[in-house]
Amino acid sequence: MNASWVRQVRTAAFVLLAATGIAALAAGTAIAQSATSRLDEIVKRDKLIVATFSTAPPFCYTDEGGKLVGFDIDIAQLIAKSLLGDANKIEFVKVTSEGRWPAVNSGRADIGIATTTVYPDRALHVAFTHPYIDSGISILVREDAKVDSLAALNDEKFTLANLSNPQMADRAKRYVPKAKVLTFDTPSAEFAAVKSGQAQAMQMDTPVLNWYAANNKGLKVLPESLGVIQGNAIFMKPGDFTLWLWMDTMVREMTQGSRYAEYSEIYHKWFGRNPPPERFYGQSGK
Amino acid sequence: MDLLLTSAPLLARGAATTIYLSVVAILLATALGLVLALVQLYGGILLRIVVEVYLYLVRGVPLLVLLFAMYYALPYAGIALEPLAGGIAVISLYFAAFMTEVFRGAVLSVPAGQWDAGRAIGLTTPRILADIVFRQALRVAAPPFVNTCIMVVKGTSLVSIIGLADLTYVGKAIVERTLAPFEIFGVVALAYLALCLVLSRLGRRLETRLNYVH
Amino acid sequence: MSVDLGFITRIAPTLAQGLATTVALAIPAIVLSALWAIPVVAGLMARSRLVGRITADYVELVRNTPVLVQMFFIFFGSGVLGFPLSGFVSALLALVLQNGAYVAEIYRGGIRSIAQRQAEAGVALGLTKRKTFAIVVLPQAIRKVIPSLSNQGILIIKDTSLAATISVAELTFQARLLADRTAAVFEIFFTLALFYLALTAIFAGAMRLVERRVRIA
Repeated sequence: MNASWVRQVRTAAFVLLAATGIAALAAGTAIAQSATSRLDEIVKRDKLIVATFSTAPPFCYTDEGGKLVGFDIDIAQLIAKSLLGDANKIEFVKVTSEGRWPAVNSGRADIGIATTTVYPDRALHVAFTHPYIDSGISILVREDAKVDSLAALNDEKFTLANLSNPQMADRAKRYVPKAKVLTFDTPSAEFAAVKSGQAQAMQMDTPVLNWYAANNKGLKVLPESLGVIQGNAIFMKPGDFTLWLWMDTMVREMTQGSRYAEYSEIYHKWFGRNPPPERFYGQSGK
Repeated sequence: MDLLLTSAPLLARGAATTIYLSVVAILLATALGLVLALVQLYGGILLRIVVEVYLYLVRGVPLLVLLFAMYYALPYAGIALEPLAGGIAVISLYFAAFMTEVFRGAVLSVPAGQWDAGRAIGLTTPRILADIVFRQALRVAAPPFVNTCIMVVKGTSLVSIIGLADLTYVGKAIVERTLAPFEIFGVVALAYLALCLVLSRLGRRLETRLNYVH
Repeated sequence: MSVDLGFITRIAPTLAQGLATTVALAIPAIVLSALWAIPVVAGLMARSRLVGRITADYVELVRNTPVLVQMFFIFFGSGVLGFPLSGFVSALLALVLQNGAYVAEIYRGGIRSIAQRQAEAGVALGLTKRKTFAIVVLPQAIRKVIPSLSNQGILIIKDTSLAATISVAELTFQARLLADRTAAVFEIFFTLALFYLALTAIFAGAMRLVERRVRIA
């Protein structure tokens, strides 16, 4: 087996692969529809599998003992209790920022509850319920950076820490194009960069930043928010209407219906205040 | 200092995962490497082409990209692997290519005279391989084999990027929480160093046993 | 199956940017590793036992710890110390420190393998020890180690993908972002693999040309 034979084989393999690759890129991707619902599987299995983060306080993070806690965790447990009767019939799959989509699309997890904001381009690859909590994006800054507004941050001597998703990259370009950007996998990595001084600011969901600012010295949240009020929702593999309908119904019951009391309790526990009031159609007598 | 004490149990669990990954991956990679080396030396032309293509792919693509492909892309093709099983599979397949080169090079380095002598006394190729050449090839293969094993141990650190809680992942998580990179990564580096030195020590013992002239 | 060539043209610029960063990281890493290995191999073969020991310890340390850990160490460590290095510089440093040690070992093997007799012949012809090394031993050693250096270069190119974890916007980083943005995850990672295959093939080809040219003594 001489060297030129090997080289010929390799070149042939490369050309074949390249041709397949280009053909595949030029074609579209289709999402398969399945005949049975994931919901039936969950009930049969008697356990709910939820994809979540482990580094986004106060929504889903690990405490010092290594236990997974947070608002999203408690909400997930409320859902498990409502579906299967027991808040402990649940298993969490910890994922990274981009790992959350394949986690539900591949079937590794049933649903995802991971401080995930609803955006139209994300809705291309997952199905969202209605939001279960409001969110927005803000910027956390170090007090010693002496920055008081978004406009002041837009300067090339500042570095902004981002999460590795395209929405954050777009926002950074739109609001602070002159600042330098560092991109990380997890909110805790962003936060470590800010604490150590490698970045002077970080971009993240408003409740998460409020929690960080409240629990650490020398940090504050800028008053402007990047964009408008947005919503965090449960996401799952698209095409499964039965599962989606149940989850969406559950979200609406939590925020506006029969599960409002438990939802309020969880909301109060993590944010120290009441959630938006239940809607009232006037028949309940209140 | 007491940071190290409080972090010790978490780091220990990470180290256990790393050791587990390394051992299984080394075993699988060695087994597969042996098979592929034999195919490359004695297989039919079609099989040799397949192996050659596989070696080319694995040696030209970074391990990280292969791990990402397994974790993010493969699920869309219908194959959903857990980070642990998938990580072991990818790492084993990746380093099996290196092992193949090691074993093939070792067998080819045995002087042709050995083969001729074997045939002169009437042995068939498999017999020559098993009885005469194998021992000599092993001696040549031992140092690069140990080097490849060390590469496997270092390669397992990449599973931290797909969220598997190995030693590197745990170390990074603790550093992000506490901002003590020198202490924590120092310990992590020492742990890897210890692991690799143990492998080198075992390798050297293997070499001396093989070099034993009867 | 609908054909959407527009998709390819839309993702091409981002991937091209990533490719540029990868090359911008790989080339200095390769060159600096080859250069840094020179003092390292000098240290390894030094007459002073202390210098030899320290250098050998450094080589052992970087050879037995993962590049990823080294990158994290430099990146987070520099931040905590107060002079934060960018992801690019941290990755470059880590790559050079790691691969410099490996290349030094390659140099050492090459130098050692040039027969003792070559050195003795040089001295017999009246050349000083230093001249013998420079004119007789070194050129032959360089010629001998080019294949191993080529291998090491390929490893460096592949290791640049790790820089994505410390925020360097190279190929793998851009591919991940793209995969998150679109639904064509499978195709994008496929393309990513092709890019690396092409890069390593081009590099290996270039090294083969170099080898052929230095062979004609």
